[in-house]
Amino acid sequence: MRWLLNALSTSVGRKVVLAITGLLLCGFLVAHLAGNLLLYVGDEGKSYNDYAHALHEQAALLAVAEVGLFGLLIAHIVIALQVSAENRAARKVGYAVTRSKQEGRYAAEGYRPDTWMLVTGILVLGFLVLHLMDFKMELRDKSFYLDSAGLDAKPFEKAKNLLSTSNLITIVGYAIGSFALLGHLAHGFQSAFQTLGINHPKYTPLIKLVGLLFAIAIGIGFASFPLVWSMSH
Amino acid sequence: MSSSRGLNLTLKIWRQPGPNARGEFRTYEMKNISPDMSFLEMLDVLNEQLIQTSEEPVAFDHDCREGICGMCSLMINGQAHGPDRATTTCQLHMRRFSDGDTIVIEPWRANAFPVIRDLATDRAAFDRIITAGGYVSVNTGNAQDANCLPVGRDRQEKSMAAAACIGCGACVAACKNASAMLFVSAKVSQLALLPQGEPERARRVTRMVAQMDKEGFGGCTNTYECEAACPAEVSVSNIARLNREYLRAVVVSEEGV
Repeated sequence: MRWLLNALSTSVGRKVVLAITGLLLCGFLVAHLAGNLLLYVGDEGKSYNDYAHALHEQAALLAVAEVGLFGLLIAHIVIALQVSAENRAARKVGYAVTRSKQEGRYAAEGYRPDTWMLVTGILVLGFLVLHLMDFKMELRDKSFYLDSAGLDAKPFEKAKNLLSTSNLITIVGYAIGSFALLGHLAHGFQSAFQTLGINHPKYTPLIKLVGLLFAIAIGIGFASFPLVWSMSH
Repeated sequence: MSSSRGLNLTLKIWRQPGPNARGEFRTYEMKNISPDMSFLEMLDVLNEQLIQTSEEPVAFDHDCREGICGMCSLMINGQAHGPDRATTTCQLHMRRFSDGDTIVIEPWRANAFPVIRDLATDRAAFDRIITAGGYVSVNTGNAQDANCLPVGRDRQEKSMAAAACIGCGACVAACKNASAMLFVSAKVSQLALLPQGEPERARRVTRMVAQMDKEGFGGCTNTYECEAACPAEVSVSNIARLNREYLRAVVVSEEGV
């Protein structure tokens, strides 16, 4: 298996791993957003609670999924940091002046998502850590995890408590994280296909459009919970 | 076309006496430069003036001066080969600039392209990548009949478009990562698209990528600045082909077992 390790350690091989892990994590985002959208069903959280309970009953499946997702995330982050550091180091002496030659890019210099992948990636990681502290590890204020009767809060109640307007850290953190995710996906999704060698006059324009719409849907979708759903509860 | 009015320009040029010497920008005032001059001719005029004042002339790479050899380079006001697309520095004319302009001229910047002197850089890293795999093995003997290997027109066109790469290094110079992926992908693609390139297909891409990494170029982050800077307009679809060829070589072929 030495050939595989050799291949995966080259600049092209590592980008392939970055692309595959990124796309698989996109699959997780879809599933997670779909589940969260049950918060909008107007039945005082019944659908959401049923979904959460059904999910947590699958303990074995969940453990495998969590380990898998953690592995994907670690691989994605480690390779991204390594590649970024190497790319920066490839030009020790920089230019006094740089100006893009891409049409329309000069005006948009500094606003394009591909310039900000490391920054948006780190913001999303911060958002994820906060989110896991909030919901998974339950490390925040005890009152968030109790219902009005002082008992363990049901998932819907817990979400309501954590995303209440009094918990500004979560509201602001989630909003920033969601928009950073939008920016990250706006480049990452379509870029992954190029890295995997998929560039075709028929499909590339479609992939770019789908990538942008996907980024907007996922970003706005997750941002809606702290910005819209929390206000209405 | 021609204008009688000469341009007065301020040049800020990177001067560095040798590979390990400290470099700095030096400012030169140019008077009455003809707009019909090429950019390199303008530098020739500057060097004539420097020689007359006993200052070392500015070293810069150039050869054919008609856009096909790939020797000329120069980062002009932050753009590889200057402001025009699909143009080499030697094809750039002074009419593209206005009277009173300040022009900042820098060498290609990449660890893999060390400065030799002033604006001249050592691009032998590209030669070493070609040596690693950018060739076809041709048996000796009589020349074959011209039409015995059928190649579709579209493949010919694509291969030719990749072969238009003149190896100037503008892709590396313009890339924020100093990546050589556009160059390597053009050299891999031109042969991967043709039957003549088939025997070494897997070996070529793995060896050229390995050499590219060894030379210290950065990786591709699909920003596509290379394509905009390329004087031969080599497409980034070649980079996707390189990735494809690489995956094919790793997954399908027996190369590198």
